[in-house]
Order: sequence, then C-alpha cells, then structure tokens
Amino acid sequence: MTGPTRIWRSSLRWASTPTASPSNGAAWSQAAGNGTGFDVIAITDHIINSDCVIGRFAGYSNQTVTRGNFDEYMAQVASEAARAWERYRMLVIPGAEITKDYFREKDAAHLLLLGVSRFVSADQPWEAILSQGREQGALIVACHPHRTDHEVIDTLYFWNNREKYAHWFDAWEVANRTDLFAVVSLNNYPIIANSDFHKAKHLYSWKTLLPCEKTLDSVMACIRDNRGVAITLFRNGTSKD
Amino acid sequence: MLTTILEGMLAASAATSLLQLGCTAWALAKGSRKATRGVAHLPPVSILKPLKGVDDGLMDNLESFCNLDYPEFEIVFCLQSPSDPALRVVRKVAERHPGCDIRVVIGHCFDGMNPKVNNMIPGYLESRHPFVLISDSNVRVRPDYLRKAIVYFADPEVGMVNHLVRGIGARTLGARLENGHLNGFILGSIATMDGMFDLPCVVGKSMLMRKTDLGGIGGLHEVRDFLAEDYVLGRLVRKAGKRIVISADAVDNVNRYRTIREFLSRHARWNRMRLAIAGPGYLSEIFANPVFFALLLLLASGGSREATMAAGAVVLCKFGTDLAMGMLLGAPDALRLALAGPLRDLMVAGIWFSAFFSRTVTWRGRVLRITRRSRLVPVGETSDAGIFGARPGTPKEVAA
Repeated sequence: MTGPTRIWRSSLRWASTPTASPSNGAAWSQAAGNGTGFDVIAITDHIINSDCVIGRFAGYSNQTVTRGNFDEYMAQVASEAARAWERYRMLVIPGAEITKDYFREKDAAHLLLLGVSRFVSADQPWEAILSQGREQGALIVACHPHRTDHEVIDTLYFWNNREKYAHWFDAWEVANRTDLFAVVSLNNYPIIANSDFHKAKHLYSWKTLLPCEKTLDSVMACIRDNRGVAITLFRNGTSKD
Repeated sequence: MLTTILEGMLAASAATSLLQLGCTAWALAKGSRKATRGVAHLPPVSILKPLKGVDDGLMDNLESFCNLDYPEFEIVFCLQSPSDPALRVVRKVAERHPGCDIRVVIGHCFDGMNPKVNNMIPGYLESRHPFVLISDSNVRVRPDYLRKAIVYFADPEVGMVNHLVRGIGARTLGARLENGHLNGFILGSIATMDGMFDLPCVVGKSMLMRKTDLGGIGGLHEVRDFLAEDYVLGRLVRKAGKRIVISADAVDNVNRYRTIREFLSRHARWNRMRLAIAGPGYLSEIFANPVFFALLLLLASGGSREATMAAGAVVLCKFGTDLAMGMLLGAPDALRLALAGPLRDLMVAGIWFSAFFSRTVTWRGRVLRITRRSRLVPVGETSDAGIFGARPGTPKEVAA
C-alpha cells in the first residue's frame, strides 16, 4: 500500500459556549469523544476586538479570552487534551479564534490560530496578528470567509482582500457547519472544514478528513500541505440522523 | 487480387460480428442461470460513486442505488469540489432517502494523473464495509443487482465481479451512436473475450471487490496514474491469483443527450487507451467492423455489381446482428440504434485509425501522454482548467 491507510476524521474548531469562557473543556471533548469517533479536534475560543460595541459587550459579559485569562484557558485546554487522549485517543489542538466583529460585513473577519501558545490580541492590525501567529508557528485559517446561513453579520474582509492576505493563510474554511463556500474551492485555496461548534446541533456538520499520523505536527503539516485533505458531512455516519 | 483479399476480410468481419452476437447471447443466458441461485450470507458493501457534473438522468441513477434490495450498504458520494452541481443532486437524493446510509466526501486529492481515481481515494479511505463497489455516476441498476453480484464471492477464488454495460435512453443521434457502440462492439467484445478466450476485460462502470483484495494489490493508489484504471485493477487482481467474473446481469449506462462530438471524443480516448494496452492486438478490432470493409470493397471494385451485392448483404447482416443484440439486451430503442449502425461503424473506423496518430489526451485542462498499459504522463497544461477549477497540483501551490 503506497497511499495512506487511514484518514483521521477531525472536527476542527470547537469553541466554548458563550457563557463559559475560558472553555469548559470537559463538555466539548466529551461530546466529541463519546461514540462519535473523532480523532482530532481543536479548541478555539474567541479573542474579540474591543474597538466596537460588539466586542466590548463580549468583554463585559466574560465571553472572550483576554490577556488576563489566556494562561488559564491554555492550561484548561492542555488538561483536557491529556484527558481526551487518555480516554478517547483523541488529539486536542489548542487554538484561538481571533475575532474582529464590526457592524459592516466588509470590515468584519475571523481567523483561527491553531497550535497557538501565546496570547495574540485582536486589538491590532491584521498584519500584526498574522505575523504574531506565524512567529508562533501556528496554523492560520480564514474562517467562514464568504456568505453564511448562520452569521448575523457575515465576515467578508479577508475574502474582499484575498489578494493581499491569501499568502498568510495555511487554509481557508471551505465549509463551516452546514455552509459550503464553493468560491474557496474555485480559487484553489487550501481547504478545511470546521464545525464552529457552539451548540450540540453543530456536531452534525462538515468535517475534515486528514490522511496523516495522529500527532499535532503531522496534522498541522497535513493541513498546510493540503494534499489528500477531504471534507465530509457528518450525520453520525448516515443521513438518518 | 485486392478485391479478393477484401472479400475475405469482409467475410471474416461479418463472422466476427456473428461471433460477438453468439457470445453475448451465451453470456446472457449463463448469467440468468447463475442469477437464480441464492446466497445465505450478504456482507455489507460500500458503494463508491465518483461524481463530476450532472450526467444524464443523474437523480434517477443515484436513486436506483438507494433502492437496492440489500440488507446493509453505504453509498459514498465522492466529489472534488463543493461547487460541483452534482452536490445539489446528492443532497436531494439524501433528503428523499433518509433511511439510506449516504455519505458525501469532497476531496482535495491530486495524488495521481487520473482524476476519477483522485476523486475516489478519500471516499475509499473513509468507507467502512468489507466489500467495495466502484460504480460510475451514469450507471443505473435494478434492485436485485447487488444481491446477484455478491453471489459470486461465495467462491473465495473470485477477486472481482465486473458487469456488462448496456447503453439506454438515447434521445439524440450522438447518444444513439454511443449506445449502439456500447451495446454492439464494446459489450460484444467483452462477452467474446471472456467467453471464447477466458480473458475478462474489466470495464469500470461497475466493479465489486473485497477490500482485502483491493488492499492486497495496493489499493486505488496503485492505479492512480493510469487512464485505464479498471483494466489495470483487473490485471492486478489476476496477477494476485484471483479470478474475475464478468456478470451478464448488465447494468444500464444512461446516455440521453450526448452529442456526436462527445461520442467521437470519448471513443477516440478509449481507442488510444486500448492501443496502449493491447499493442498489436488492437489491429484485430477493425475486424468487428464489416461496414468498413464493405466500403473498402466497394471502392476497390469500382462499384461492381457483385461487390455491391456482397457489401449490401454484409451491411444487412450487421444491421441484423445490431438489432438482435439490442433485442437480446432488451433495449427499447433497438431498431433505432441498429438503423444508426452503418453511420456509427464508419465513424468508428475513423476513430480506430486516429489512435495511431496521437497518444495524448486532454483531461480536465491537462494534456497527458498515454504510455505503456495506459500510464499517463503529463505533457503540459491547457489554459482551460475546467469550470470547477480542479487543476491538478497541490492547492497550496496554486494559491501561492
């Protein structure tokens, strides 16, 4: 056999519930591990900008990871990663979703930093955020880059400025929950599918299939290389559910 | 002298057509006897459906698999882009068949030169059952198709079950040419090679295998660079000491609105492929075309009365065999397909010659050279990468 013998089903990008930040790790890793057969998940709580009322509200209501609680968040993720591996042989990747929310969709954008270890503030220009992510060796992913069925305000900034930013991204979300962004594929960008898990129903969504070893380095390298990466619509294995 | 040789070739060619008809009739009769036998164990099967665009009757084709009378199976729809219009059809099919185990895998796999194999690799790796059925999107089956096919695996020596293919549903001249060629030459040749020479020619429209057997020969990766991945798979299965069964329970290949250009283009590619595989054996194919020799005889004899009569008789004989073949296969438009036969045979003769002058094919924007056993080697890329942008190469490279 010259090709990969096993594809790891990954549900990348799980965020904590809006009311519990830093993440309530046990809840999601249990949800992911319990009989769903996922091999890899990423925990990516929001780090939200404070230069808009949306971000400020998130800060007041304790729905964002901040410089102050980042270490606690990472410690929780690390502890949960150990438990998930022990119990389910499931790899948990620490990450963050850098969130710049504005009222105009052309200004709003989210990006993921996977494998992040140090705090990256959302209150700085995108170039600074991206270079800090890259310095840490994090995998950089453009989130829901086109029109969705679920976002109140779509996040189109990166798509509208893709020629400027494309070289920064290791992958673009071609699917988020049940939304598909055909434009990403048409542009031949490297792809990934994410659950954007906030509620239990988001478990049933597009997932990424990775033909690689189940280690952090292999998963990151596989997404970067993007050869053989595939996505599948998870319905607990069937369309029945 | 020349006319005498041509008369001999004409007679041989007419005999070949009759032989193909006889072998097809025998294969179909044998198949119907085999199909009556039952089997106690029906193992779960993963059905791989590589999709690219919307084929004629795609919805009905896919639904025919959802309606299979079989205890446990999954259908893995494989696509290479979320912008592929086939995805909408798949979602509709999934909605209409909530009880059917349907999975969709959209892959970014560009491992090999063969886009169909690239399309299937992620779905194959994700499939769960011990048997895998590779089935093209333009294939339609009857509910008992899988039950009949799995019967053969009661014999552990059987490594693959392949099916005869029947073209149906033509509404244009191009589609009639296509279906007539499938039902006449292609199906007849497969039945003859299998029945007379015990040389099963595998056609990838429907291939059922044990996963252990497929894994044992290297999996789909092993054939990712071949144009005739089906033929190479068959060859590897035989090399592994397993037997291939050509099931006479013919599957339907729906060709409704094919154009003449599409017919010519597809069979030019197939002919180049067969030349690369068969080498000198390819020369024998022309003997299945009596209409071509009838024309040659007419030209060589200057239209003499005897030659005209002989040619006319042979063309009539070929019309009869085409009609009989269509009727044997239960094709509702057998007469129409047979009436298009002479035109088809002349075009096919042209295609047959064209294979000697070109060894390249253009596939999804890429120019590929066909080498030994149909292995594909890239020559260059055209400006057109296809509407889905599925240009081979890593996506990262393209993005950069």
